[in-house]
Amino acid sequence: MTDDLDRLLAAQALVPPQGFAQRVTALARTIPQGNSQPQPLRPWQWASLGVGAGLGAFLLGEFALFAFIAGAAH
Amino acid sequence: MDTDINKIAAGDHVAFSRIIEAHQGRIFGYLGRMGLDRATAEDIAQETFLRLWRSAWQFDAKLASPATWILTIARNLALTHLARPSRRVEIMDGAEPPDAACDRPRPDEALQTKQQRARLRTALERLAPADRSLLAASYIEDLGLAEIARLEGCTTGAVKVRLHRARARLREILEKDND
Repeated sequence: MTDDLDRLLAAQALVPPQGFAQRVTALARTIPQGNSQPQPLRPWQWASLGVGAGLGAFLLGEFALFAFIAGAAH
Repeated sequence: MDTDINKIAAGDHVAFSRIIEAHQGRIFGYLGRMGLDRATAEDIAQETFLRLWRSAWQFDAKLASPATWILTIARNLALTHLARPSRRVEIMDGAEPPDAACDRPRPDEALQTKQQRARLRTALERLAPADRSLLAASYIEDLGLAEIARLEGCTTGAVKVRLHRARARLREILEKDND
């Protein structure tokens, strides 16, 4: 019976239909890929971040200096 | 093969097609041995590969081989399908692709094969879905006990015990049907 079972189960296997791979590949062309991996920043993005941070720090320093001078004048 | 998965993650359709060609036989064989009909197996196989396409970037070669990973996706989809209470009636057509004329079995042989397939499918439906998966996986060539254990989420010892029980149960069902 064991042999019979093996034979039956072996015969139960299905084979892929003709053109299955091509059909699924064509379907995949219409489906966007998920990708939530963080992308590394490019050099110009780092530069832009640096400029932004520098400008922010400069404006904050300027504000603090004016506030100090104004406070001292009174 | 890992490289192909990386290429798929980068949107390479040629690599994707190559992976399907390499794994489709194994996936269809596995789904068929689980007792699924052709239409359901095709739906699940298609969804398996489309999931692979969508989430190839999640593949981690340290955790599993591409073959085991793809098989795990197919297994999960098949078990979800089998757990669905109102799944469609599986057609007992045993519809196989037409064979070459010279290989075509005689009508009485074809009928006998069809009946055997239907009998086995009915018997498989009486097994727990996880046991159907285990039985089907045990017939995949090149899939060792360790990989089956990884696929089924248990130890190799548990695989041996469950496999022995599932075979015994299936044999019992088939013998009862014969009486």
